[in-house]
Amino acid sequence: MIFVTTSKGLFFKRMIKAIDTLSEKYSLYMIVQGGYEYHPESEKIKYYTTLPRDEFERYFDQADLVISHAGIGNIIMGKQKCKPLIIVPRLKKFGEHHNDHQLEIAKKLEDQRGFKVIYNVDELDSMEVLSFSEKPAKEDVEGKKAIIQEVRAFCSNVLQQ
Amino acid sequence: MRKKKVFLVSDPGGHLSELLVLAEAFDENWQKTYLTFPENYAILENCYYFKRSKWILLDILIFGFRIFWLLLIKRPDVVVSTGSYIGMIAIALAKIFLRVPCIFMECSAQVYTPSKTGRIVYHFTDLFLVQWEDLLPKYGDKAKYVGGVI
Repeated sequence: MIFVTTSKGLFFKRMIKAIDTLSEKYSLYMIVQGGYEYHPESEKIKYYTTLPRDEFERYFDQADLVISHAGIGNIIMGKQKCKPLIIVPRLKKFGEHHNDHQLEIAKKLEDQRGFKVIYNVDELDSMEVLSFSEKPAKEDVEGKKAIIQEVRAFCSNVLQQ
Repeated sequence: MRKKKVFLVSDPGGHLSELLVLAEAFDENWQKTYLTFPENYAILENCYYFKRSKWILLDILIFGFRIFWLLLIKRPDVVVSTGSYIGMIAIALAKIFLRVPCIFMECSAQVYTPSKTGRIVYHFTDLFLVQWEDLLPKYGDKAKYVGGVI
């Protein structure tokens, strides 16, 4: 099963339309959280505007592949759950976001294990992409540890004074 | 011994995911209080939810009063945020009126460009972290890079 997720905010029509077409073309079963009301053409799509947290996590767990906008929450969850992630950044020029920060973060993910970044949604139409199965490395433990260490050191420092 | 208190404040979504990473720094000797919006569906213990209206200036005013009240009655030892403006309000009020030490971390979404919140709270924080080295030159000497969650 492919789990497709994008947040509320502006409607990410470009990605949702593209996966709808693909689901129909290849008869792919998908669970989609699209953030906006939408009626998919493909009968293989189970569409939700928003999912409660626990169901969201359940679909994330069950998925073989997750297709997502370049949202930090999903990227972190992908790492925690070791899921192959296809990232489609929202672009300002199509009115999908107020700025291009998703493009910046997507560029940073290009050379990380477990992530495939797609800028042009037409590129999703390939079996190589849709069967992407490389798993990400477990969360960047070093970076996270260092941050937590820094915060702890700071707190014990200021509270002693 | 009295438990130390920390306020953890941020928007939902990615901001909250990263706030929860910072929350791990505070062990059982700390009482954690969260301030966020209810849109994330995450179940947080000890959380005050704020509701957004259509008017951001009105929100800032209302949130400001409520946060200030919470700061007065709870008296946190530290305030922590990963953005956006709800964190800015909490940090500014805590710092200016109560001299509480404040920590801010830019989200990993800010790779080359500082966030609006970051630019403002930079002046009110005692520990200011960024998650990409590329972002360091955009801030002053106070900004620190030790690593990122992504």
